[in-house]
Amino acid sequence: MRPQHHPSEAVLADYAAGVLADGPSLAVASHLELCACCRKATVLFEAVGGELLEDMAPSQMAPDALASTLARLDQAPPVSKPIARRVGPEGLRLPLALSGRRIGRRRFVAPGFWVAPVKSNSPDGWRTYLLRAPAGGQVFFHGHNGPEYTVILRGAYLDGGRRYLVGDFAECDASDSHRPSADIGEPCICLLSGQGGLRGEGLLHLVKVALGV
Amino acid sequence: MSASGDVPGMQPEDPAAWIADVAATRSRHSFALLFAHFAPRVKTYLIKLGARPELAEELAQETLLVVWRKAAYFDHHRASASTWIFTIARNLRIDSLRRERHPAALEHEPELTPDEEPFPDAVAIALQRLHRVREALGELSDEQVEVVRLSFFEEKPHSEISDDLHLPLGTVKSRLRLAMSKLRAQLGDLL
Repeated sequence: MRPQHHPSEAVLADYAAGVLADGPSLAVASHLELCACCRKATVLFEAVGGELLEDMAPSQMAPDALASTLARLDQAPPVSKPIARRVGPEGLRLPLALSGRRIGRRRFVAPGFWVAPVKSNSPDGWRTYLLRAPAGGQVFFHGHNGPEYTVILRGAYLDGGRRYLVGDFAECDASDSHRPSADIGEPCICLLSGQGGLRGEGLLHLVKVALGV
Repeated sequence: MSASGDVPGMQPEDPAAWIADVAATRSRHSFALLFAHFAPRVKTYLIKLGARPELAEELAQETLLVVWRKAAYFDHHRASASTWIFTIARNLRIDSLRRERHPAALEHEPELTPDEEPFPDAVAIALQRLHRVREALGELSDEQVEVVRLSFFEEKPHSEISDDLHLPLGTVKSRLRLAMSKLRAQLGDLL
């Protein structure tokens, strides 16, 4: 089943350009692993990057730049470890995008709900975590103080009359308030990356405490 | 240029042929040609992204070193030389930011995968030779090109681009969306 909900062109362009923050990049990369159509768009946007690179005015390189690079050609390349797919909490097959990342321990915030922080490198207030909701479990009604990106890793969730399945991608911005819920049938696990925190009450408070917000 | 004859349709001065030559014969001559053309452009690109000049110099050299090591992975059907080198430079920049900011976030060094991403799609595109991307960019309005350029070459969120251009954020986003949709519509058949 192909994903039906995709990142916007602006997000894919930022991803292809390499200027999307680390946390959101993990969400986009997780979506791309399952979405051929967005992979194609990304390849296209990279081609735009290549054309723009051709247009760059050349900078002056250091006088010995070529000589010192030539001298390094025969050095053994650094040994890189192959990317191995990891298994996360509850036997979840994690996206390859998360294979090199530390995932913190789960913190249970309500029956059937937990959050687990994903270590990211962005210094700019992005918070990235796995969220698990039980089958049919309603997430608190909440708003956002900044953009938030979600990709579904297991199960499905419902939000505003839309159904999001594994691989589907959702974008919210500061103006959105919503109350998503896990679909009945099985628990839902998502990867979320958001900036600027959440607004809301009830359970949300526990999530904030668990994430140390 | 010993390998250039092996690649049908390639001009001798085509950077893709230089890469093929590096892959086939480990030619230092072709490598030097690639270096002269791309290293100074990569350096400019990295400076525009906010890298200090010394770091940009180092990463530009590193980019060409990766070109040498990974030349055999380059597939001219899949991407132009400049696109391939762009993605290498981009990935090196991302990795360097990771190390700089939060070395502890990574459990081990990430595999450097500029090209052999786990996406085996046969996206057979000879974009460079067709010049289609350039043509398509030429058909965008000036405002659209400006937004595309800024979002590629300034490490800035769209909100700051919107401040710089004195435009509402919504306008920046919709301009970029329009520009990128237009490119997708024009070039989608190549993918």
